[in-house]
Amino acid sequence: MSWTRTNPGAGEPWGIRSQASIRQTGADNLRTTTLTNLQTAVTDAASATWTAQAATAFAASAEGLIPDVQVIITGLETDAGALNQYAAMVEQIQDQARAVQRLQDDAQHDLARLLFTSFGDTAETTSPWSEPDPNALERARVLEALRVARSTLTQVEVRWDELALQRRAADDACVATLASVGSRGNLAGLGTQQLSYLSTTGLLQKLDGLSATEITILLQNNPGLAEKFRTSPPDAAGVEAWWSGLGGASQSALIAALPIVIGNLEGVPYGSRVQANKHNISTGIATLEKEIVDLKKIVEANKDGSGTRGGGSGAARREAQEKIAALRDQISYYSKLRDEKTTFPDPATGLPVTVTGHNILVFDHAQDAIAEYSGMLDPVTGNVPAAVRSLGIYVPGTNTTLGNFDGQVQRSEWFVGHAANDGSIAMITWKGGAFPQGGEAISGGMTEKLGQRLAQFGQGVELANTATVVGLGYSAGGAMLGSAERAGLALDRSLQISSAGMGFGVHDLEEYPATADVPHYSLMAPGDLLAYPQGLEVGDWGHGGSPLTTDGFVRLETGYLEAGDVSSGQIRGHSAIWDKEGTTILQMYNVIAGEQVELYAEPELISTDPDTGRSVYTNPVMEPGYKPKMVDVQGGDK
Amino acid sequence: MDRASAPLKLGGDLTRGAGSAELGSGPVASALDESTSQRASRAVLAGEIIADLGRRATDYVNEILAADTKLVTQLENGRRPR
Repeated sequence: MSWTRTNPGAGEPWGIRSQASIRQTGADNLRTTTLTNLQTAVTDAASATWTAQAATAFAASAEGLIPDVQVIITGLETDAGALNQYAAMVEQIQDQARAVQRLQDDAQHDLARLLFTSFGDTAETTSPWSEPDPNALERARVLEALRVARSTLTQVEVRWDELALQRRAADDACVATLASVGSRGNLAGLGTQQLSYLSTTGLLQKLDGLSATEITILLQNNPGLAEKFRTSPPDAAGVEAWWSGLGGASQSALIAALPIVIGNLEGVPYGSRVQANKHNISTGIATLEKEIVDLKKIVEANKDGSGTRGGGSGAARREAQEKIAALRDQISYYSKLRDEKTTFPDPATGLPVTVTGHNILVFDHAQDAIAEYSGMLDPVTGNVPAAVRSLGIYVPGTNTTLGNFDGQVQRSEWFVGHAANDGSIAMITWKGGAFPQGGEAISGGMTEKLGQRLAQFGQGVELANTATVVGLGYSAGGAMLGSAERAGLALDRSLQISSAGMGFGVHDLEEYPATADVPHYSLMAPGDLLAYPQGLEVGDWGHGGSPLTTDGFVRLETGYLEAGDVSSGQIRGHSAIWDKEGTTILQMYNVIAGEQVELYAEPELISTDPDTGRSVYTNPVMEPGYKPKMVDVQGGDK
Repeated sequence: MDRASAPLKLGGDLTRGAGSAELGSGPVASALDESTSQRASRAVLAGEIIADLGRRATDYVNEILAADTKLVTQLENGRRPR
């Protein structure tokens, strides 16, 4: 119900006062019971009768609640005061409105009556009589009465306008108080409407100084807040400046209350993101546990099914049981990410250091997103330590899921754990969203979107010095890396490994705005079927040009199953390149580390059968006396 | 502590806010709704912490009482506590 110009007093002052009274009573109760009890509890805990450490912790927790309770009490009292004042103003307007209404009714009644008198209908319009008018006096009286009635009605209209203004002013005053600091504490000015107008950069500024409780309240009342950061991420440099300007209490509050944003926000130091992502992992575990509860209900409901004929309740039960087992595996993996103790060489000293939980830089269970840093983070800055000279960003390929991501991280850890690494190499394994599964791998549009997300992630890479950043994309991950480069990802070197292509629609290194001039390498073993569709694009299908043949790429040799040993046989196909003893993985390491690499030994045409058209080529690496052609890995300006 | 948390359960009459027709005005009704909703969230969060504190304190006291009882029993039985 809303008031109108002709009903400016709409509303029930008694009802408004009743709302005020409820709030005042609530405030009184809170002050005399909760606040007093909390203060007493704090005092008691500090007394000599309870001296254990638990007393200090208890007192701190109880004391920490007092400001919140006080905000509630003050808010209730402020609202009660505003509502009482509002009720009085509405009442006053109602009184005046009634008087105006009476005036209007009387004037309208007079007008109607006068218009129905003998002369009423003509008094105002008829020209003066040319001959003596026997009713002149009466006519003049009616004319005057009509003028008065119409004047009154004009005044009434002015009064309605005035009352509407009064009501609007009363509304505005009440709204201002209800939205004030007195009513809402630090959340004043952070109403749903105000938040909806803010950019994510503006939102961050508003979050400064809020307690964890207040941030939680904002989220509860504005559920789309976190999603806004995902769809419209703020500039990483701005975030970095904002975060470093926050006090420790504000940072802790944000990590505790807004982990899904902070854990995935480019510009926040990695150390803080790791902390936030521990919360996000716990949330992911809770989600999975809830799914298990629901699946157990299906198992229970189908417990009498035979389960032997592939249909009916037995099939449903088996399916649910299999899902439960898979979810338990995933929970186990998540728990490991959060709680497992891992050891890395300290970049500063080279000595092993053990940390609890993995360095998770991205984690969003709902978005199927994760990224892990393999190595030690700087304990002071929370970022990549100064001793790291090369940072690899590895993007795995098709069929990578949260369930098997661990295996991809192990590939990164192989580089970090390599005997030649003295702590100067660190790796990030990135899966910033749902990766293509099976046939989806052909979709260039999908890898392009992931590439854009990778470019955004790259903005958050904060180095302590001029360390080299190397991108490594495997299979579909190569197309993502290429799309990221086209979206502006800054790298010093780029390596395409058994790649699907240079990125959707990309056919020239010049299309990479930040990396057109940096060294680009590629690796692909003989017999890798992915070599055939390279360069083909139809509609949404395909992944751009070939990293094997496009000008500017340096193709490297994939070599043998055991590096340096021709008798071990040649690496062939799409996956054997990851063999831990092989030539290819060493080549990858050397690209990351900036060492020497072996150039691709180009086969030469021996002959072509004129009947079948089949050609026969040499296989240089398998020929006796083969000598690898080694070159230095080039740097590059980011 | 449970007694202390009780008043923080604001109840329907407070959380009803100003959606009620008697306020008669859209802007006031929505401002009061939002103010009340924020406060209700704050009260619920504070109430949960208070209740948790109460539970922990109670558990702590019970543990001490149990330890006391065990010690007394051992002493009465003439055994040295370990």
